[in-house]
Amino acid sequence: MLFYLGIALTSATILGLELALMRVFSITQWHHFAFMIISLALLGFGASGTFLSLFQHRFRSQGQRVPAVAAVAGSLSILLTFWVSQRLPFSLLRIIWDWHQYGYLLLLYLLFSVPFFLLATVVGWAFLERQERISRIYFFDLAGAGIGALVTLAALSVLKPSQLPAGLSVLSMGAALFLGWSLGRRWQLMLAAALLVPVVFLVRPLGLNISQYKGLSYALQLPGARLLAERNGPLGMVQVVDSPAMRYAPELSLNFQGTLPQRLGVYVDAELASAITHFDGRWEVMDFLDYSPQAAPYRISPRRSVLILGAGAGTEVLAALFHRAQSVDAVELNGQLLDLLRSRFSDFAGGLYTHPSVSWHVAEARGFAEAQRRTYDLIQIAPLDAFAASSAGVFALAENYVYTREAFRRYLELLEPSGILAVTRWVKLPPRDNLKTFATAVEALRTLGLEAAPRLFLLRNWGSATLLVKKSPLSPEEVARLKDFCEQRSFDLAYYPGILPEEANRFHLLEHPYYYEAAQQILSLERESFYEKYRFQIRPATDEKPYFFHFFKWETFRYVWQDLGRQGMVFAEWGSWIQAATLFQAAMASFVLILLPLFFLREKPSAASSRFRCLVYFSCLGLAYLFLEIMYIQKFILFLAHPVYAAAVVLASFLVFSGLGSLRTGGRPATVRGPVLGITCIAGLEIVFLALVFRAGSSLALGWKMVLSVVLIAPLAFFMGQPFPLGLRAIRGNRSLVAWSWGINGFFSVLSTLLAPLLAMTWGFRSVLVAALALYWLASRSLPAPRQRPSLVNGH
Amino acid sequence: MAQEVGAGEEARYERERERMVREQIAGRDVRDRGVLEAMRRVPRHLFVPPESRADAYDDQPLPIGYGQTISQPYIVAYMTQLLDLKPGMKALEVGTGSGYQAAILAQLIDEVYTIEIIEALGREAAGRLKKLGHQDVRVKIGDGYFGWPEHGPFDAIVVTAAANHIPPPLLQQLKPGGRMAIPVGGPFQVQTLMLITKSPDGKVRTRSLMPVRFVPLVGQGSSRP
Repeated sequence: MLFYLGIALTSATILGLELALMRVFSITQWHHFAFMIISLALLGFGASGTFLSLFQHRFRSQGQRVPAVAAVAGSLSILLTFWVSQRLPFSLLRIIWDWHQYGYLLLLYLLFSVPFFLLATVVGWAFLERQERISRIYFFDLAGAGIGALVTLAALSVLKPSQLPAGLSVLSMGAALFLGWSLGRRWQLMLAAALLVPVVFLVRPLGLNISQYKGLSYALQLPGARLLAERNGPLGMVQVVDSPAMRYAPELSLNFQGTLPQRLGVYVDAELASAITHFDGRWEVMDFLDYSPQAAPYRISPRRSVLILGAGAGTEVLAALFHRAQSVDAVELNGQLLDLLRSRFSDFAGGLYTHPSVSWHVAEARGFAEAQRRTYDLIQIAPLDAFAASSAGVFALAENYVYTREAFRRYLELLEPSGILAVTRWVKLPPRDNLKTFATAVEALRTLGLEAAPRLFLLRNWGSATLLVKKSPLSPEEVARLKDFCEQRSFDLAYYPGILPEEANRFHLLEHPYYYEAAQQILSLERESFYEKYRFQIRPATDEKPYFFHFFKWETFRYVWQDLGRQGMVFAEWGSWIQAATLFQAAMASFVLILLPLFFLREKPSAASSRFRCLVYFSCLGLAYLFLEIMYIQKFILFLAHPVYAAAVVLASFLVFSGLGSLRTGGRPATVRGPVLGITCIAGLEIVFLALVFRAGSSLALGWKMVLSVVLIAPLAFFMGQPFPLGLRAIRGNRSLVAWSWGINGFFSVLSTLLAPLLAMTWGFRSVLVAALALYWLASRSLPAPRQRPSLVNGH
Repeated sequence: MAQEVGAGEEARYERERERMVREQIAGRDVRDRGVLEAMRRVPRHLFVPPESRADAYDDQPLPIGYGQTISQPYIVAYMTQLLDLKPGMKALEVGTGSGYQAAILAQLIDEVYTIEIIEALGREAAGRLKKLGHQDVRVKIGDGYFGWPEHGPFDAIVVTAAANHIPPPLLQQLKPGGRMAIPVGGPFQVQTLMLITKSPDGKVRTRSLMPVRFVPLVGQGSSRP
């Protein structure tokens, strides 16, 4: 039993390491880059399968020492690679200018492959040497990973990011102790003593080396700067910095002549995300709140009830109170941030976080809106980038449910008849975000049967633009009041019903009145052709393709290529590029690590067709399992209204119930038709009815929502856990093939996390489901023929 | 950073500087003769850390420590051209960094004031500028947010550190008819430049400029957006 616990702890370490490295690299560099490194580091999986298949004959005489030593080495390598990585002079920002950075990047890939390679070797070895217990090993492998996901997500709130590698190193050393327990007392003592090494680093963690180009690094070197507080959690490391030289007012009108109140910088993952405003009860010194485009809706008429989505440190909440709102619902995703604000900065902010007129809610913005029943005079969406719904970092998908067509429709439903939806986005050149929100509002209004043109008003400052969507048509008086406001503040008019061309682009001049011209096109019958021809993707995002931040079109590739290495690169959208580059790298590496070794397998009793079947079978399973898992996480984010809860519940449910499914295959003949039929029926049904179930259960308490989620996932996961052990049982006896298949499956699981978002971006989430089911079907047709009749003696 | 270099080496740097001006600056859209001449004269390699000296005249920004960079030569030239400096004018730079931009400004006008908030950078830059003969450039260690009111108002202000808003005191210290240039974007990734002008009646306007070859935003068969 201890051996199996060792396997479970090893799997827990592997999954925990993925999450922990994602966190660490999001802080020290940027999250896209973290995704890239970890995807490649996971190639260690593929490499372990290849290694075992090529060299397993050399380890046969070593018995249980192999996994114990691999786990010890894995544990130490986690510490060592982390230490080295924090000393490499790598800078993501310099990569396009400085070719040396590619060398450092390669070194990082290789470094982080080591722990994954060693830990995957432990599990691969178990499959190889305990072939009669495949189902049980797979159960502990999956259950361990599931528990690892939960434990790590919990640990992200308790431990500092710098302690995470040591924490996982402790876990891996614990695995070594269990794996080597049967080797005798000497080994037990040695392994127990070795456990002290990572414990020391847990108590005295290795430091993080945050890039000097991140906002926090710069802020802390300003004179008089002080780090006032820090909180850690799965949504990021929150730090509050006081510096007399730091000011934050990105939306301020150039006509503001006054003095800004003291503001404390709120940094999330070492980037400035928000600011806490000092408020001593004197509204007369807070007039800067009226110098932002976000003040526009209050100029139409008083707004008594306000909903702020993405409240951050509360600037918009303060603005609502400044404009005499009587009740404010403030929704913020990051609970750690809110905790910190309430406990340490309530007095500084003049009681804003405990104000009787303000209700603070920790929730994902869209999920909150879906579950909400009351209506508002104003719904305001602050620029959410830093606290985006997708910042869990679990699978760095850039999905966002706040800015979809369905989301806008929901916000409009929650408005009073004369209510206003106000959406502010940062201005980028060439324009993209604000055009997409404009297009999204137009289409949302149309789905409600409302004419868009008389209900929209778009105004622009130099750094941000605010779109107002009024549920009822704007009256001429209301338009006049807004125009006066814009004139007083030097905000540009980009659209209002009846706007004249000469009224646009007057204060903050662009080469052309892009916003005005685009708004006219989007409101015209030509809009589809305009979306098609615009150089960026500005077609509205939908719940089916919730990629608001996906602006890149591949047809602009040639422009990016021409500008590469220059300061402009205005068409480059780094997220898409990094994702594509990662996929390319992974495909290359898979060729080297998985396909090439096929030709060097020492044992070649199996026919080429059998090897080919293995390749198809296990690659299909690797892809399909993660396709479904990722798709379910996406669907449940809306229901559970929190990406971390969704990731935790979905991951843990999938892994644990798949493990139970695996146990069930113990004494069965190797046929996958049944499980694949089960998967197809359940996934097919759920995709049709899930939306209805979610709607019916939207008002349930979170605990009950989680229970319902587990119930919905369990049967599907149970069947999904069966094909892999059944496949391994079919090739039992062919040691090289078993080891190789383990590598294939691991590697394609990684590839799957890269492919799923690309599929969803292009064809929607339904295509991911269809692809997953097709892959399962293909797998069911490719199951390698058993070499011998399956043994019925390995009962559980 | 400013260390002695041999005569042969100096001649090589001069050739590189000439090539830099020809290919990277004049070859794009900087036409102001004064600016081109200033870029030819100032030895950029003495403003970068010794380990980056070999890359000093390449078409790229370079790190100078403290999370700061010396801008790409083209950006320095383009921003200087935007200021439209004439002899007798007075300029303020916020964010001295290596001192390179201040040295370029000093080639064009006599009164240059520059403020750096990070003390170590400011001291290094002041020493370097003095050593290279730019005694007239006045360097202050302090918070550039408040400008330098004792010497204002200024005909031109250049803010070399990307700002999340435009400080009101700087706008107040800009003369009517004056020009202010600000890069928008983080280190190594400047995408746009903002030119702020103050009309004689005190009205402030901004103009966003993309310092790159511009490509139409809409594909064939349609008018602009």
